[in-house]
Amino acid sequence: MTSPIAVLAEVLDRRIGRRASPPSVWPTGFGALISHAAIAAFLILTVTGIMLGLVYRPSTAPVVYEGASELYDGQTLPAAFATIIRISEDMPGGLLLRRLHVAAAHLFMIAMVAHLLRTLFTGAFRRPRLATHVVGVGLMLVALGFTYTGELLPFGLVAGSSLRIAESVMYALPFVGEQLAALLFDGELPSDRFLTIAWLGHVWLLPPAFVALLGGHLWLVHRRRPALERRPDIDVERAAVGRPLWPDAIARFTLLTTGITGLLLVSSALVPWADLEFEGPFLTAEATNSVHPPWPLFFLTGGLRIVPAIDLIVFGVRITNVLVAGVVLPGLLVGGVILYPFVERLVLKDDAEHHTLDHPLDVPFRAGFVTALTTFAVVLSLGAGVDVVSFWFDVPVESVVATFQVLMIVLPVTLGYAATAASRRRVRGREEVLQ
Amino acid sequence: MTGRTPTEPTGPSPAGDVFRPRWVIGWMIVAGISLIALAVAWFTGARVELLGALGGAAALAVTVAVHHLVVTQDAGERKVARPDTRDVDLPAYVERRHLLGGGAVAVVLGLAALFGLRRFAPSPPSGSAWSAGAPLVTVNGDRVVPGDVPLGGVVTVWPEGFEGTERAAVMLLRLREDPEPPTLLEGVVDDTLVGYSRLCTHAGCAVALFRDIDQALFCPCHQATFDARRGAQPTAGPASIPLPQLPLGLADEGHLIATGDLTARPGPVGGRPER
Ligand code: FES
Repeated sequence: MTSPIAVLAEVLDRRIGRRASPPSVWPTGFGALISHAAIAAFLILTVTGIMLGLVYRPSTAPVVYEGASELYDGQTLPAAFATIIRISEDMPGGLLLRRLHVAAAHLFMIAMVAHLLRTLFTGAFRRPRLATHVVGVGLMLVALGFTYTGELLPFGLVAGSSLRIAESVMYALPFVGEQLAALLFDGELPSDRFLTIAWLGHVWLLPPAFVALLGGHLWLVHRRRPALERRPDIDVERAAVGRPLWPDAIARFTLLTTGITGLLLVSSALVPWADLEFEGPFLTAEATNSVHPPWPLFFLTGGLRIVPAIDLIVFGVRITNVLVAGVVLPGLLVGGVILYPFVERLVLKDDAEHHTLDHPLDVPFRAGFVTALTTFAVVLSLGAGVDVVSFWFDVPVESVVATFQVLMIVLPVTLGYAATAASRRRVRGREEVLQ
Repeated sequence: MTGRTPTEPTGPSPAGDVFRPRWVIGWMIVAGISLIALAVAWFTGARVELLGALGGAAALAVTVAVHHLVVTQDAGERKVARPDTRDVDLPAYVERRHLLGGGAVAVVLGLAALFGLRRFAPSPPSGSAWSAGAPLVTVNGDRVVPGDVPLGGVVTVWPEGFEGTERAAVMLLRLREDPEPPTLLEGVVDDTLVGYSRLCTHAGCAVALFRDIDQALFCPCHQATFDARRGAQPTAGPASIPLPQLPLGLADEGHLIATGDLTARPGPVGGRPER
């Protein structure tokens, strides 16, 4: 009679362990840790999210808050905002959970962005990993959905503005925008409708979507074997190197998860990541002096700020700043990221399979394109801060906007060109060494 | 073959990393004590700093223990030949006809959705809650008289019965100088009192700031600027059309009323050619 634990260990070992067939091979080096950190952060987000979700109420109905918060005691607040105050001020550990949730969200997005950049710069997306890449971009879009809906849930002062901006983007779509916007956003604020949609998305739709996509992503990674950096001892085109999922890779992942949890907990003790009492609840027709979304969405609001005022009517379609900045530019960015692998295949006429992670400067075309794309996204994102820059340096905001309008075009072109040139030089140098 | 040295060598870890069970158990005990302390602190409602420190201590102690396990129990990397590339589980090679077929299905479904949307979805409201004769009230429902708006001041008002609704919000401004066309001059009371929709024509935020020096209305969301003296025409920033104006009048009792609806639909401009 063997113990159930021994049986389980045996099963794990045969399925995903050291004796699995086909062999289980997972990379555990630093590059892989970036993506593993995103998963670890997602786990923390899930746990804290479930705990917070037990108390949160997606309602704008006015309620009288009575509790420990001196600022709001006895005041009438929208129910959603009141539950946030209750969690933070009246429930033991509530503030810690909220801070941890937000801190983990920052790490999550940082890791996702870093992983995407690594994939693009190293050519990890090439055959046979095209599908892995496309699923990965899907994960990124779901993550942006988390960011947007998560910002709405507390129903703070600028929630109405965030909603209206999203509505206006939809409204700017030709032909169907009005109907689409009316369908999703109809009604006056404050209304429960938006909050219910945001809550449904953040809590019930996006998490399963993310888990499903993540499952597909990891399954593909497993089937295709990891792409690896060049190394002197092994030809990574012919062999894959790594550790079995069980117990080696999982032990390392556990190590990473507990480490990250510890650091985020300590940071949550010290940094007020999520203390929004001073922002206050949503008030109709009010806004603060400077309205900013969470940083992963800066590229959207930056575009809305630095694309000039446009009003053109072309073939019965009204083209406005909102259409360009809210639909066209993000579409180009996301489309560029999704389609780049296919473009590269055509341009380089390279349809073969690759299992090597290149140096970022190994392929001139890629170095230039990805650098330009990244620079464009960064300039757009920084454009979200035109009001802050104008305040710091005491220059009129119009001049800052004009500067950004120039930078938005000039910087991607110059840096992209510079990267191509640097890459050419590197490639030529290597060829000379070989001769 | 060029490339940098891998972060870790293949094969088992170098000797010297001897497994020390005491070390692991010790750190697990530290973690356990921190966890118990955390639970106690949690239920006694301790401050967030203490809770974070205790939780962090527990997690980091576990990390130290697991790290020792990982380092000493490592069986090293394994090397496997790359599998047959034509993977049976999911075609690595998406054929052109798959793409074309998928594209065609997407186009058909998309067109059907478009048609359904245009046919069945509601249209957005064309006007606002304002109408001729509607008294202007504050958010508390108090009627507003011209004297309520000081020089350079802004008062947000609604039509009576619609207090606090978003699309009907209007700001009353007392200008320093008389307004000029294209301001609707019949809609100005007292020579300097004008009303504009509070919703930005760019993307629908609240145009929350009035800059007295140049009589400019300023939207904090993306810095659209409107000239309050000239019909709230956009002067800088991303907005391309003026804020709708509310024509104002005086009731016999002396309070302010609207003499009609806003001059255009409030809120963002949208994608339809006519407005
Ligand atoms: S919403 Fe006012 S500037 Fe964009």
